[in-house]
Amino acid sequence: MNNKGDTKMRMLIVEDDPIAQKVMFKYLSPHGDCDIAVDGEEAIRAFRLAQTDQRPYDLILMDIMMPKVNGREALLQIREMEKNLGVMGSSEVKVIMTTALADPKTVVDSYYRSGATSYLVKPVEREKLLDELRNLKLIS
Amino acid sequence: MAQVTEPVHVLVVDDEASVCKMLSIRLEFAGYRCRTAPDAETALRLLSEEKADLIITDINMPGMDGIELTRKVKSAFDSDVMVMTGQIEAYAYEEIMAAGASDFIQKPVSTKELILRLGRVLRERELLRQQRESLAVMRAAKDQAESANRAKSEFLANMSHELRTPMNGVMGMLHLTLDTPLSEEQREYLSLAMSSAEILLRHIDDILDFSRIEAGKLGIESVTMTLSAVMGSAIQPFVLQAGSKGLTLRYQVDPNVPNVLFGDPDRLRQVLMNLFGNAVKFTETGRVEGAVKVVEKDSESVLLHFQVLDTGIGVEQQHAEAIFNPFTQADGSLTRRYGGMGLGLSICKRLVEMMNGRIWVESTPGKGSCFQFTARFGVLPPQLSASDKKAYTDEFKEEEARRPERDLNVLLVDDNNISRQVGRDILLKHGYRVTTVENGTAGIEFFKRERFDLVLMDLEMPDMDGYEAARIIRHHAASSGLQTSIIALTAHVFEDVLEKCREAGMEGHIAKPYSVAKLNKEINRIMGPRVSCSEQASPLNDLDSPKVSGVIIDLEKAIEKTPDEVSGEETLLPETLRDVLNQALCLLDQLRLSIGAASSGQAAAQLSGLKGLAGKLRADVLVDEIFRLQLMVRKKEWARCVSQVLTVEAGFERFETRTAGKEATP
Repeated sequence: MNNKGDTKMRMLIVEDDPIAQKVMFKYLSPHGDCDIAVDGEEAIRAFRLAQTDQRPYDLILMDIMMPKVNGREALLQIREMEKNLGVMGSSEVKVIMTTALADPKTVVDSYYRSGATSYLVKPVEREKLLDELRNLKLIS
Repeated sequence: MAQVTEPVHVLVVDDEASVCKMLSIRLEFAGYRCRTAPDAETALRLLSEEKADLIITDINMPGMDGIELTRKVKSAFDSDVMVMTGQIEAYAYEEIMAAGASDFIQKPVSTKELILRLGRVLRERELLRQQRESLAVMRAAKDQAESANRAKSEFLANMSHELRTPMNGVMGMLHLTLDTPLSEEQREYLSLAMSSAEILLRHIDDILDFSRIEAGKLGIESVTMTLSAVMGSAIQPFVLQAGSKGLTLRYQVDPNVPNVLFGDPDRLRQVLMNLFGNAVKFTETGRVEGAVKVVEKDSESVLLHFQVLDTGIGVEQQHAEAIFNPFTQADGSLTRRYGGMGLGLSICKRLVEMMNGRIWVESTPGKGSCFQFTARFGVLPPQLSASDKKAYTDEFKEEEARRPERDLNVLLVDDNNISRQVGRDILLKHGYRVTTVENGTAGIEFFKRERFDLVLMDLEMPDMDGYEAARIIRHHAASSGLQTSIIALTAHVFEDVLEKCREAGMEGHIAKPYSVAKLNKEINRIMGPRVSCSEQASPLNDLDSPKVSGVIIDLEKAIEKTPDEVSGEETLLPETLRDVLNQALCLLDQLRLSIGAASSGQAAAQLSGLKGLAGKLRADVLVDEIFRLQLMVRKKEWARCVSQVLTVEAGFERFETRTAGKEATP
């Protein structure tokens, strides 16, 4: 699923909790280049810059409950940008929503309506996370 | 007679004064407070002044009759009405009652009968009042309960987040530490901590699930699921534990059970895991076996029967029902031996009920238990919704019509201090890069030094006027092969002025006062749509940049004001600009040190300061560059940071040349 041949897989972790950032970064770094955004606003900016650089992200891990712009809102905007850029189908960025909200309504709402690819409930365990990456054919 | 604590107010309406008088004397004597009215209109007026509990009205009166009065009273007042009818009256009693009367009485009125009937009407009235009152009390209680429940649900949703976030940290850190080189002893301790954390997390999940069921917040999904996958993943977590106890753990699905179902795989798994988990927990030797079979099936749904059989300690018959109640375990002594919160089975019971099934247990103490439940699933494969792709393409076409703002380098030549400042701020705010100078000579100087896409030229200036300056700039541009547009700024839009402008090589003009919209329109007219000279503007950029507003900036008016009044918080004075730049350069120096020392905490703080400063300058491209640097710092890519700091510094320095430019006078 790498985009421009030689480059490593690019991932963006969107997470306001510093410990969770660190854990996710450690889990994912062996599998590619990982950026960290601390809120939805940064996520949108990072996504846009990656597009401008012609090095789009392959995967975004998006927390739902965050300050400024929440994960769902950020995802909606990212999907909107993709639409504007004509990015569609399998070249759309894969987005895994991560949430400590065990409320399925919130999760399902984000999962289906805002175009998330899947979701994980926190605490995110490494094997579950990597399974999800394998499901999405991002790693083998 | 009615038991009256407060006096009952009665209004007697009759066109015969003698009847009024007679009735009011009798009623007052019987303890009622009585008023009289000679006709319906007067009665209505009296009622609007002071309420009455009961109206006794004649039927046949001049003007409005008693039936009409009854209707009016019932529609507007909370009073009962009794109608007095003459024996020869042609009114049907049905009509009287239909109008809303509580009772009627024949004339000549027997006072005794009237008072008896009146008492009955008042009793009914009192009953109705009590009923309304208790309804209102109940409704208020219901509202209160509902809002308390909402608050509880809200609280629980937050609780989940608050409990899981630190658990995420605990388990993640344990996991990472377990990946580092450790002594055997350390590894054992951390593994124990890890399994404790896992148990704690299961308990948290149980409590949250249980509370959400109670709050009516837990829903059942309906998605495609594969039964074999659910069964497999429900058993998987217990394979190790069962193996270490020497238990046989297996399951069997009848061949006629459809594998693809429509239901909630997570909730089904949860129930099965609970049952398998309990079975393994309470069984010391023997086996744990699962089985699935069909109970009934039609074209749309299937009712499945699940069972989990074990050869464990079993449950006493008297506890067989109670174990499905919350906070209950089969035996107090078991609580100590086997632990657990006693929530699991009660959650299973609710979940199974939500899946239109039931759960029960058959057990022989000492021999084993067989937990069973039924659940209904859809058998139709889900109808996949039509592909979104077409919608995507359509919307994309629409979006394409939106035009990105240009990135133009603009030279603004104007002798008036305030016009210049206002113009500069407007242009900056809308994403243009601007250099301002106060006369034609300086304009020419700057034009020779830097490449500009556009010159905005005031016409009326001392020393060298705009025409002359434009002519020289045009000449210079032509000889250097530069594509530059010149637009005249003028308050006088006469044909001869415009003609002179064209002669001097100015392609367009904008009448003062000008709006940003007007400016953009003229730029588009001259330069063609979507031409950007300096950098390629990404269509995404306009997500962040402010939109062009139609606000008219009245320069002439602005000139009459002091600079402070003009700027407000929307503009940036040169003093502020210099201040911002100084702070930025200072932070950049510190940042270099932090990067050199690989101190990500300090670098992060300095970067967020720089980001704020760039935001003040409304330099979105610069904010982007700073953000890139933030991303690098977070990844600790120190080598790349060094060169990115230079890019950011250059971004701030570009503003510095502009301040310098602004101050420049020939």
